[in-house]
Amino acid sequence: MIVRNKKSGDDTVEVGVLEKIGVPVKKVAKADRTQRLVARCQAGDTKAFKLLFEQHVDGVHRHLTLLIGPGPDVDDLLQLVFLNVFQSITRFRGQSSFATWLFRITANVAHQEIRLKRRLKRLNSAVCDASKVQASATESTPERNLSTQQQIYGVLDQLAWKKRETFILYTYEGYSLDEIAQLLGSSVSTIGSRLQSARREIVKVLGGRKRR
Amino acid sequence: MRRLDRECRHARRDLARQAELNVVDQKRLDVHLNLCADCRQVAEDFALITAGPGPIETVTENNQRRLYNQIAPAIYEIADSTKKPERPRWGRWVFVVAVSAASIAVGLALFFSPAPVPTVEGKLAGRIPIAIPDNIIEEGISFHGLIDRCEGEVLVDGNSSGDKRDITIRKDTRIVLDDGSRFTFHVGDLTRIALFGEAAWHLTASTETYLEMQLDRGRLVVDFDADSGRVLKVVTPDSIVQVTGTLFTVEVHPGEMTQVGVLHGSVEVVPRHGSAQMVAVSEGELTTMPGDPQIVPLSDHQRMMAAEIQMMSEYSDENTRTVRFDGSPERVKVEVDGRVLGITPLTMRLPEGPVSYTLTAPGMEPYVGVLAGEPEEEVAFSMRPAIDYEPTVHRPITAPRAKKRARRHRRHRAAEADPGWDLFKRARAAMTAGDIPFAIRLLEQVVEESSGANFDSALALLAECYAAIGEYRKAADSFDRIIAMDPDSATAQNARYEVGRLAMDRLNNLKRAHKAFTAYVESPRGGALKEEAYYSLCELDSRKGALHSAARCFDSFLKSFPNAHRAPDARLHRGAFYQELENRWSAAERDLMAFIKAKPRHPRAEEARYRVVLGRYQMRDERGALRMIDNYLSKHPKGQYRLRVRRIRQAILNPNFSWKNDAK
Repeated sequence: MIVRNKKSGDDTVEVGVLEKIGVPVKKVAKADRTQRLVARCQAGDTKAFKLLFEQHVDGVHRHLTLLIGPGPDVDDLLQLVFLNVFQSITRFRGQSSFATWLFRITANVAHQEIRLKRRLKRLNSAVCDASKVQASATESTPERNLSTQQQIYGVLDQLAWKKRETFILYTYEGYSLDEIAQLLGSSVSTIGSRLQSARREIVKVLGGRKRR
Repeated sequence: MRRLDRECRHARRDLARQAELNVVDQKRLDVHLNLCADCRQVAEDFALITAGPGPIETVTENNQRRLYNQIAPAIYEIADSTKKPERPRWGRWVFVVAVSAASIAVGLALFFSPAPVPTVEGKLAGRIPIAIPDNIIEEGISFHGLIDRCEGEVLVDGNSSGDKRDITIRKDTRIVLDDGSRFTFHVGDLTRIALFGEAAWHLTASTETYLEMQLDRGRLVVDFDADSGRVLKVVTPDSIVQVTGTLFTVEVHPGEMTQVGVLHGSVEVVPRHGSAQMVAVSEGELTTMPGDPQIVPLSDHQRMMAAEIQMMSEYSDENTRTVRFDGSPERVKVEVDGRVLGITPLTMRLPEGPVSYTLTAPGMEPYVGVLAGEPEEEVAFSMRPAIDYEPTVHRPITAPRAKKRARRHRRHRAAEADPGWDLFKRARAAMTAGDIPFAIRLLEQVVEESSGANFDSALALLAECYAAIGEYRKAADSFDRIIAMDPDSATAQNARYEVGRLAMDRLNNLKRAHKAFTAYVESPRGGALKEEAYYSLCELDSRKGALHSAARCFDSFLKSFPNAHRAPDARLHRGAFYQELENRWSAAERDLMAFIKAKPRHPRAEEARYRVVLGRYQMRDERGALRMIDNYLSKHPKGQYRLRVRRIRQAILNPNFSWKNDAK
């Protein structure tokens, strides 16, 4: 993952296997290596950017997939994230870690995608016949079966972005409230209340479906 | 009922904060869930949602490479545009001197203690774990391929392949091209090869899993299919290029260098001489051997070379046939459906079904025809001079039959009586035979001596001869003399059009062209070329920079000739003007879409698609713009507007997007 969380251990390169067999290994902090790559990217070095891409692509992919749901759009957005990163890397001043910065860009791109999808949905419903929309909606989201990812994200789509982001970070990615607060630049109490609110809204949405 | 609702409400509130419930509350919730089926269902659904979407697949190495390769060109462009000129620094120079000294020392050490130089095979052994039995390489496997395009003089194993449809490639098959020739063919599993520019190529080894070819000189483009399961090696005098699936170019300048450019995928280039290291070249990169191998961005030259092979790959084998264009004169430009395919003599693979073609050559009337769709077709053409002569003076050189002689027009008799008639006939025969200078000499004599009925015909033929040898000014002057002599004749009307074309295309005298075309259009005599003349007038306005006038002209043209052959082109122009001059986005879109529909594969269809995207973005039709962006990127993944289109997409997706920041 982009930022080390409670599940992923310390912030150094894992060289335990080599140490166990007696090979002296100089530990290189991952943060230092990333800093050097970022500095080279800021000088316009495309090879360094490729390394940076390889280093973070998995994390960004996972984060994007969790935020917007699996689908063909994820690859496009991933490319957009890295294009944005390279375009604006000269503006990265190192006040936060690169991973946090990348996390913010990823989240922003995902947010824009969600907003766009919502707008398109509104447009669609405005353009199409309301009865058809109703029919297609009930066909594509059967009430009883929530086993598929699409339906999970169908429920999450009803949440406001900040609540959705907090819920996903806490529930799916396993971050603590402190870490989420640090990542999102909010207080812990705000994050806590957002999480509660998200849960309440999910239950409300599920209950509302049941009543229909 | 009300009581149950309240309990459900409490239960659902507890459900949302289940992790924080004390034992009593948890027990109460459990009891309620046992009693209430609705709440139980909600709890189950909630548990499913909190369990998450399940394991997420990691990005595979191939997918990772593909994702990076797709953004690599944009990354290079951004990097190029943001690079700043570096200031000289002392420390840098000291470092350079130190590195140079160390290199010299290492070089000397290597020179005085000869170490075994690593061979190419040694380097490749670890990378291509494919056993190649010697006997198979010696015997080789033959590949049967199809010729996509054969233009100019091409020798396959010493035999001309000009009229052949297919090709058999075996070990030691040698292909040699004359300068200016092009040869594109494909073998086996969609592996396409294009050779250009005095190329000398031969296949050195071929097995089911391995293909090795040597390029001694010239240029080569290879579109190699990764799924074929083979490994491909291209050997040049300076390097070895090895690849497992990609589109790349190799250019050999004998005795100087070899350039390897990659358009898709990646290749490894190993120098054949010296102990330099292998170079990995990725998409959008170019390297040169021998010498210090440096990676630089791919230039347009390589992209144009690759376009050759990409164009051919649009046609699948199942739906194609071979067509040969050959005739008189030679080196005639062939266009099919608005796309230039090459210069005659030309053998070409084309899609099935009727297609229209146009043959053009300087000084000759365009030759337009339709191919019926036969599996193998030959177009044997003979082009006529560019002037449509009056049939009254067009006489066959052989003696006419007696019946026709009796009905001969009085004018013909006058022409025969003219002493210049024989000279005129000889000049026409000389021109047909291709001896233009002699024809000119005779015709000048006719014009000087004759004042009779065939004077205008002689002048027209003379003008055409001048145009054929590149004397465009004299040609235009001769046409002007025809117009001055008898302004109301059909020959004069044709001459007006020819003066316009010559002045516009050859002399770059826009004023003269404008005058000639205007005279043609306004002449009461009319003519078949009125539409062309009108369109040319509009183009002239556009070229002169009178954009408003050009827009009005195209508008008027479309009103006068709504179903004309040139109407789609006029719509493209009018659409562009609507956008640029008047911001009439929806009107522009109508025109541009009409153009795209009429000519989807036209070279300017890409521009039209981009303009539609731009228009929709300006009209705030974001959904439509995104749809068109997808359409553009699928049709022109390497198009010249792709970055602009992607930026528009970015601007749509990201309201905080700043064009100012992105402009760099």
